[in-house]
Amino acid sequence: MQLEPGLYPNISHADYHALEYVSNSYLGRLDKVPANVKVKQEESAAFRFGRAFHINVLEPKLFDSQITVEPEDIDKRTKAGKIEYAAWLETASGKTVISADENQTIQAMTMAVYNHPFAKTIILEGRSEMSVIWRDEKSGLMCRCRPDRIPDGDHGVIVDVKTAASADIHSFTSSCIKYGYGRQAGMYIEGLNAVCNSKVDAFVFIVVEKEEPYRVEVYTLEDMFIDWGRKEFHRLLEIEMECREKKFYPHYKHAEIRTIYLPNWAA
Amino acid sequence: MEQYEVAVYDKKIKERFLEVVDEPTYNREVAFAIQAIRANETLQKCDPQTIKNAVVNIALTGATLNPVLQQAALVPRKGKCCLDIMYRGLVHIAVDSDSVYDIDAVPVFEGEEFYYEMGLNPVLIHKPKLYDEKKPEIVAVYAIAVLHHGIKKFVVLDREKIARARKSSQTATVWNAHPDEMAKKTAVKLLYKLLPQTERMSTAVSVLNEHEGLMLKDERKAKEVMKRFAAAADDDNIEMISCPNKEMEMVAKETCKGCHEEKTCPELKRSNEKAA
Repeated sequence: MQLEPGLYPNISHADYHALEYVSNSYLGRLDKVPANVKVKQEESAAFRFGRAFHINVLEPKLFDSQITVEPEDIDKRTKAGKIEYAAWLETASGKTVISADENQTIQAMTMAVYNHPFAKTIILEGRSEMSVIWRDEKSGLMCRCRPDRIPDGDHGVIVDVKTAASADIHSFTSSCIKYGYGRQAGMYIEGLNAVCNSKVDAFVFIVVEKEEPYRVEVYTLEDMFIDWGRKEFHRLLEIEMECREKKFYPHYKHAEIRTIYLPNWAA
Repeated sequence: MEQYEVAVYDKKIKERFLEVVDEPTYNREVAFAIQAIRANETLQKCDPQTIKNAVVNIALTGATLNPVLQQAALVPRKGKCCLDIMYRGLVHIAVDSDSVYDIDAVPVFEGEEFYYEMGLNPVLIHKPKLYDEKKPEIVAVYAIAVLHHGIKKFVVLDREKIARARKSSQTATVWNAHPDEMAKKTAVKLLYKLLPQTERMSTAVSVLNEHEGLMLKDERKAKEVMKRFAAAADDDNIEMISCPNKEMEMVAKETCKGCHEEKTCPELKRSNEKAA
């Protein structure tokens, strides 16, 4: 499927992921080592959990049609149970499967978000699942992103919901670097500004812990952080361009030999 | 009598002044304030309350508005009158309030020899050059304070830190006009944190932070984003119901949509009937 630059409100999850445009997760894989982008991605349990949680928080009306919860009364350890479970799985085709325990956690985490004084304000009214397609001017590459929430009104803000082991400000700051959330902010803001008339200049994270008491914190990135993210985005686009030109995605970052020094803490 | 004159000659301002300085100093500073406001039409239009605050802050910090000494000035910012304490003002306040014996800040330009070490035995070596024409780009700035027992303390700000301070500041025009002086001021503000604190120094820093933005870190961005949603937050149009599953704890009705007891929940039913 090919799409022109613009905002697309009604692209399904599967169609969006089938688009062969540059996304933030693609750049994250490229950053580790270019050949990583050619490795087929398996849907992990953490991914399924995250997806179910996002739908429950942002689009609760779609929860029943897209997510299904494993029945608690099937004993998957017995032969009969396994057959019963396989039969049940067939009825759930196309839906994301989560366990009953996961569902309980998701409901509790969702409540935690809506009970946060500021988080509820920014996510209650807005649009989700808006696909943004744009062409990066410098590299000419087509890029895509799908902001979690674009609040209604002229707020100039993109909202992203993150699950985390710790919602503490220091841990989340590291995550912004480690998992490319800063780059995500820079990229999404640039993408939205490329196709929208209204100016977006802020990125808000609603961070929810996965364990009781489901701590929720809301953060916004300072402008310098967003600038850094934008630079990272363009740095990786250049790498992608180079790989495309050479038609080669190396499985190493450095072609030369490098020296390892004894670290100070071991000396 | 103009509105700004009424503000400057306010009785309460005089009382606050006389708590910390003598009457001739009060008369002198008030005269400088009137002189500065008369010369600037934008200042005349500023909120009179902010003019009062700025003049009181002169007394509290101990800086002077004397234009020759270049310690402080009244500047208009977004309809408000602010007391801008300059680099020389910050130095004067620290020395005059007996926090330090001396304090100085020096910019380092590209191509100059500069070396420093921190730790238990800090070292700082800087060999400045003389320039006939335009100075090269500033690469760092450092501020050194000599304490009364002779110990020296210093801070160094590299290009990145200077850029951060510049970016987080609301005084872009001043930074553009006097980048060296502003970098020196930022270094002194940062050094202030390491010095024996006096009340006047704390007041000076808080006065600056209030209108100029904090040195390297502030909550301005967060406050700005919160402000954009302020109307929505005030509306508080989120319907809350007591959840039987949560020992009747109040939860947002929006969260009920995913609940497995959505169809049978008596509280939700009651709320829906009420809404209908």
